[in-house]
Amino acid sequence: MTIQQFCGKQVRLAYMDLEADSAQWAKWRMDSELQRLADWGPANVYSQREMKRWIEEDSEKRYPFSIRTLENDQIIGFITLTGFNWTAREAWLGIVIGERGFWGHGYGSDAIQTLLRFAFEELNLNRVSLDVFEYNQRAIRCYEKLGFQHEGRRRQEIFIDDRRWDDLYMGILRVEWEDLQKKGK
Amino acid sequence: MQSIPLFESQNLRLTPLEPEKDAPILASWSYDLETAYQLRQGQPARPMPAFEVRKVCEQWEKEAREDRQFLFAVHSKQSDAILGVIRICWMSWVNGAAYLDVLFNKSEDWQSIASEALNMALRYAFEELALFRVTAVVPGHDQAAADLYHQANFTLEVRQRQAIYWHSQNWDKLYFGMLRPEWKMQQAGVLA
Repeated sequence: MTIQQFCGKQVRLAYMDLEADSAQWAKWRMDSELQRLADWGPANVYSQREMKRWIEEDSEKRYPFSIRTLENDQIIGFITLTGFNWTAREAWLGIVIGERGFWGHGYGSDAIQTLLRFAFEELNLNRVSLDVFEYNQRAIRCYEKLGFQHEGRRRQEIFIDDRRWDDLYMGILRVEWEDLQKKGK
Repeated sequence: MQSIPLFESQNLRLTPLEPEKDAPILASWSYDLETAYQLRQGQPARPMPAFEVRKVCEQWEKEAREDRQFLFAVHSKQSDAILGVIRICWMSWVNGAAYLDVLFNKSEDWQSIASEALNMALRYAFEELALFRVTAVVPGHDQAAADLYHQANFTLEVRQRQAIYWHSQNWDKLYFGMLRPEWKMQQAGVLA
């Protein structure tokens, strides 16, 4: 069954399938560049069992989805809302597109648009936050296009490849998102 | 090797936290909702009974045993009373980075006490843990806490718009940072 609310133009957001998604996640994690783009900690190898534990842990506090193509329901990544502050009506967004063939074709943007709609229209959030490492230029451009504003950078937070990099903070407010919807973006 | 004591300053002493003894005192501070917010670990703030605070303290102790945080009770040298708690937490060893969380009984002179304790925590973070940077997060309405970090020469790095709700309105969430070279330069200035 396809529920319109969780469908974008190219992808849909599906709840996690513990068996299939943990296997997929363990496989994608063998791509060390992907991990360096996405994770604060050191890249590592992970068993499916470990990924399963990770998906299950604190799952009631998180809103995780797998990202599936509308074309043939292929799983291409994960997207999550987490770190909720219900009084400030704020949450953090995290996304990873694990299938490299789907990088740079708008699938990630479509997934984020779909999740933002859910965040603002159903969860009644006032803002969505994210952080991104300064070397992840592709992601930064994507967030800018979607209307996320730069809110500062934690200087030299990350140590990778023998040098230090900033951790950029971005956010989008409900009013900003509503304006973009009116403009049809 | 220099001989400046790590756990003692002019008026204060850093000691282990003792959940059984200290939790009821921390609980009594939690009517101050800013303190409660720190103790509630992301949940909406409310005053907390001692048995709940004790669980939080025990969680901190567990993380401390696993080197995921460093935990200090701040005591007055004169009266031995506990005045606050300082944590160096969210340790990221590979990045040489961590967060600093200070929690104080909001007495009249808490800012001078916090400032003296903060200085000890920074010395510990940079000179004992060999960190490269520390981050402190402050709600935008808490001017006293922002002043504390400004005066300690932190840099305001991030302003998350409307990320805090307090007294019927939205406030920004502020992130302050200090880097190891900045700490060293400051120390050179102090000692010169």
